[in-house]
Amino acid sequence: MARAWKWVTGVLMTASILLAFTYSPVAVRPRFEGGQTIMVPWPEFRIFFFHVPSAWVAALAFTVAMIWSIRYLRRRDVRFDDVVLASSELGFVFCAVALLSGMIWARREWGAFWNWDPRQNTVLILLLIYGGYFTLRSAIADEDKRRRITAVYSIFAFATVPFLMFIVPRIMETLHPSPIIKTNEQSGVMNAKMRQVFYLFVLSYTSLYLWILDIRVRVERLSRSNVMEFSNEEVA
Amino acid sequence: MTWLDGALAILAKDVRSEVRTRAALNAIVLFSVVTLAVVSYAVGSFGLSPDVHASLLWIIVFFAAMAGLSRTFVVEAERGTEAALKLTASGTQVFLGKFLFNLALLGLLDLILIPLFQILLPIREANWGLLGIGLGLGSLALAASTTLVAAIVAQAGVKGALFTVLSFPILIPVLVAGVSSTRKAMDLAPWADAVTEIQLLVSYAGIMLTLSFLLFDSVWRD
Amino acid sequence: MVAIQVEKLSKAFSNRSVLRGLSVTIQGGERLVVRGPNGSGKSTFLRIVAGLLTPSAGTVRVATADGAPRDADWRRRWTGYLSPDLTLYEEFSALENLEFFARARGLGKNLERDQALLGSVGLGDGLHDALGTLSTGLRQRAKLAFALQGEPRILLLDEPGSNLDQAGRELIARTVVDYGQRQSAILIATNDPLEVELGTRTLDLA
Repeated sequence: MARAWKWVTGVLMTASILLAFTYSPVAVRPRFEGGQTIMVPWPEFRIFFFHVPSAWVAALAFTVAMIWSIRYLRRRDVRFDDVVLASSELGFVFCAVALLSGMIWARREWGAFWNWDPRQNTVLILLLIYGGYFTLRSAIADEDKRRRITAVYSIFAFATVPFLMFIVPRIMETLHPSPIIKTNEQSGVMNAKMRQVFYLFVLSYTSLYLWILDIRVRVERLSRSNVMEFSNEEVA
Repeated sequence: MTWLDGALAILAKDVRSEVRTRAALNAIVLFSVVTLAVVSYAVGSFGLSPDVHASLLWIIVFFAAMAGLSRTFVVEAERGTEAALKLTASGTQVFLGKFLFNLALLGLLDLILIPLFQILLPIREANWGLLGIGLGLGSLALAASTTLVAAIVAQAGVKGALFTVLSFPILIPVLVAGVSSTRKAMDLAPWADAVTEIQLLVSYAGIMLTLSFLLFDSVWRD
Repeated sequence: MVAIQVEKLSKAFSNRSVLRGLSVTIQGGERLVVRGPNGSGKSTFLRIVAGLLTPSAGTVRVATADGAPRDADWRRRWTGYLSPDLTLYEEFSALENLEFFARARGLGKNLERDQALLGSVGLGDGLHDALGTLSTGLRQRAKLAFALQGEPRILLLDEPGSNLDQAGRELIARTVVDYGQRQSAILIATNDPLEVELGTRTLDLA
């Protein structure tokens, strides 16, 4: 089953990337020029196919970490903590990817890497929470205590997410009214074909996440098993 | 209600201990006074826009909180008195007592800070009611979100800046709402303008407290 | 009458297994001595019974005469625990410590009761001195008073004689016998031969 996943991911990703450059039409956007509104090509838009799914996976990974943290606290089964650790690691990476691709986008579009745009902020805060999780993990020596305490932090930190995603942006708009196009608008720009490719990307990224998650969890489990046990089995 | 009496006993004990050693209070007050003095010196006689003024207030509150709010749990761990507490009080009693202590500490900070602010970085005019409520509710939300983190940090080995690192992302909603409400107060805005901020602070405090109560035993019980 | 039922108790710390499938029942009135070399799990066992540690596997159940199982709140009220790594609040006096812990346990304020308890463990003087200023022997007596607060039905003593003079050890002996007669369940973790004598039963952890 796990073997097959590798191929599924490979096929999905390859298809997504190919289609992004062939099937999906080049995005266009309105520009006001010479008293008229004309539609100009906007190839840079393609970064959205990579940026948004990354952010989506980062959020998914965070949710998985939170749920498995609850499961760990209930049953204290080490295997649940393996998932929390692996998911947090992956979430951190995808979050960094989302942030960096977002910064490239911002620089290209609006001339600055950072705009204090609420979405950028949310992704940054997510990154900080992940960072906190790993800092905490390395600060506790006893293994059981480490798992227990970091599970609590995962759950607790997750509670801030609904606030960060919905309420805080509303308040920040009054603080920093953004002269920049809000990201919502972008989805209005996508036509049917682009939307199809977009969802395919979301699927591909999710598949990628699940595949690496599985591998990472298995690595963690293997690193825990006693090497001596294996050799005894062979002898017996 | 003996349950509540137990929690209040813990609050009283922490207060009594603080009165004798003044450790947390010193850290918090000293930090805020020094920071305020530095900022005031740097700003000089320039007028401050409400934006900046509000931000400065909350920066000082945030860092002062980071300096002092973890103590209540960290001293129990460092001095080895955790065991005695665990043997006699329930998790909810301990959490409530320590949360109330942190709240009192922040309340005291607020009371000291506002007059000091008036001296060093005067607020000429403001909707004082809104300012007070914003600061008060913000402090409530601050204490509500960080008490569990303090308990977490007390369990870690190398503490250092761990409390700040872990608290900051969690406190961002509080800081945003706090700064926004204070700014509006300094802009002489009516109460109605800050409804979202107040709602956020109250609901955030509520949710964080509830979650903390639910999760505390998992941190506290070995 | 109280009974402590320990079933298949196991505890491991980061792959180091300290208790492996320990099963034993201690009835009220019994004085169980837990013996064993360093690292054999004596203190760990007592800590788990006290509720300070959760086991990796197995259970510790406490029941009273009517057979009703008793929860954590009951156990906090009726368990007395003494151990070398127990520390009371050094900035407070013995009396202040007892006052605080009495409130935490739900025993309410009662000055005479606390003073009497401290007097009975030999802390009649020095009631009001900060614990940090007292000798280790006197501090041990204060810890004993802490353990005896509320007349516990379960008494857990980990090396109770440490830091105590001859009079102190006799006090421990008298206390143990007294509480045994009151039908409390007593566990003593020790290798000291004189303390081992105090037991009605011995459990050797090896």
